[in-house]
Amino acid sequence: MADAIIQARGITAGYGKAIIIQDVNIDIERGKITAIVGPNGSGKSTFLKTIFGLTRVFKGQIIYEGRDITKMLPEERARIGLGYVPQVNNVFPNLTVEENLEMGAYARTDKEQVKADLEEIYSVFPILRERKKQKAGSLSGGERQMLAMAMALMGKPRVLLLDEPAAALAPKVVTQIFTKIKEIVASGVTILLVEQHAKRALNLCDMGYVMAGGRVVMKGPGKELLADEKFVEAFLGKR
Amino acid sequence: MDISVPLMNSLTLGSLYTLMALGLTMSFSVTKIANFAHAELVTLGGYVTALLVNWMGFGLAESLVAAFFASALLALAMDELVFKPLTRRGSRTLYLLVASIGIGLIVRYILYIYADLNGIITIQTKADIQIVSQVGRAAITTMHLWIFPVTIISVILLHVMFHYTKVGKALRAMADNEDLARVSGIRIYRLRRIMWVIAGGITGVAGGLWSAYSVLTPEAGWQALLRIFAASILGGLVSFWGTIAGGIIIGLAENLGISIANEFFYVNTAYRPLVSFIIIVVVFLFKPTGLAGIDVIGWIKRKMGKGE
Repeated sequence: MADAIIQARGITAGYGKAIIIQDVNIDIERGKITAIVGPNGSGKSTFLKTIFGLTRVFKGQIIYEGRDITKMLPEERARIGLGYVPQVNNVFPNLTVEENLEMGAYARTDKEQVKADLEEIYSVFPILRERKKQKAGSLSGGERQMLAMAMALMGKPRVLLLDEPAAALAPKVVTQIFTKIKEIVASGVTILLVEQHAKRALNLCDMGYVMAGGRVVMKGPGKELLADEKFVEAFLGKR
Repeated sequence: MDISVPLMNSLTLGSLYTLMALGLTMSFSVTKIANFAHAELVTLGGYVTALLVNWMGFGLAESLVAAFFASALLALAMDELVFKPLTRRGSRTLYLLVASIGIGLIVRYILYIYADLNGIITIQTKADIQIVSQVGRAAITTMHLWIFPVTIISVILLHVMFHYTKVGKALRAMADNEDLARVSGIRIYRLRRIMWVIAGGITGVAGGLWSAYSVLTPEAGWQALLRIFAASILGGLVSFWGTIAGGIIIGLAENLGISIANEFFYVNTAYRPLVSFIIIVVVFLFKPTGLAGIDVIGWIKRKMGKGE
């Protein structure tokens, strides 16, 4: 059994009375990239939100570092090492870029280190330094995505959940974002990536899960899935 | 026509409306609740001040502090007992608005019963008011020396809090996107309580000053609510500077504006409350973001750029 930092055990969850995902079992391996792919409306994003406590869980458990966090508030999960970059609305538009980054580090108490980390973020994303006094709402799509990711990194997460980080971005920016993701993993952060663009995600990840209709329908190492005829036929279309 | 008296009245009432509206702007921007029970925070603060000064012999300053805490407590109770549980169950803002009208009615009629039993349906705080200076025919009194500084200091303090402290920035973050605030580790329920205490408290102080300036009834807050909303809406419902501008504009329109209309166009001054209605309707029709949506600096820059 691999070393899982987060285990989702038989999760059935949704919003209000509506069930969106059913009986989902997913292991997120420490220090690796786990990807969830699948068509629109398959419940991928709902699963990410569930890990962060932003949905209603009807059944099942979420285990983080051996501890059941199913009922923990999202703000407390952020304080024990979880980070999350939503697909949309992932920055505070009326706050400046710098204030956004401060909010990313909100729960941290090591002020000196936060300052140093801010400098580091600025050197990694120079565009954010240029724009630090601007409101985040005025950024371009790519810049906003960079800021969202930088914000999450300011929280020093041990596990980072990324929801379609490359959606609706120019190809050049997509390459930048994916390079960034590889660097983040190299620095020891575990990543859970949700992507609609299956090929891209499966090429990058260590372990892949395929969701459809709110359930996990296939799983396996990313490259194996890409080589699997059944998978290719069902999700990528025949070539 | 001598405008000194209506001008002075405009500024005084404008300041009071601003002070009353600051808390509404604050609570609306953070929770998105159009809180009609905000009116009762004004009234409660007024009664606490009047009773402490008139019956207990306290000074105005101590009584205003007490009004702060009384209204802060009421605001906190409204949220903990009604708004928060409803929000947690996924209530839409319309339901919250209706609930706030209900809370307002309950508090207002409790105040009525209490005031009736004690013979204080109308009461005015017996503040020691002296004329300190004269501008034209208008007198500047010690009351003005309370109202103007308290309003200005409140706006400055709120601005500093919201832009330079961690808690204030987090409140703005919460106003922008509550879920994102939570995933950043911001404890939203704690912040929400801090917000209600400050918003309720300032509103209570505004009510206290009102009770010294004018006659108070259990309806006082309710009657001012239209102006409070108008001031807040003019300010875009999210900006403190916008709110102060909104409050002063309402004050000017309802006093100086009506005086001028009366003098030159024979408009009856009884139409005064109509001014706030018209302002609300016009703002919502043409500029829903209010004064906060007007980019003055950007406009000047563009004009300057074109001039070159």
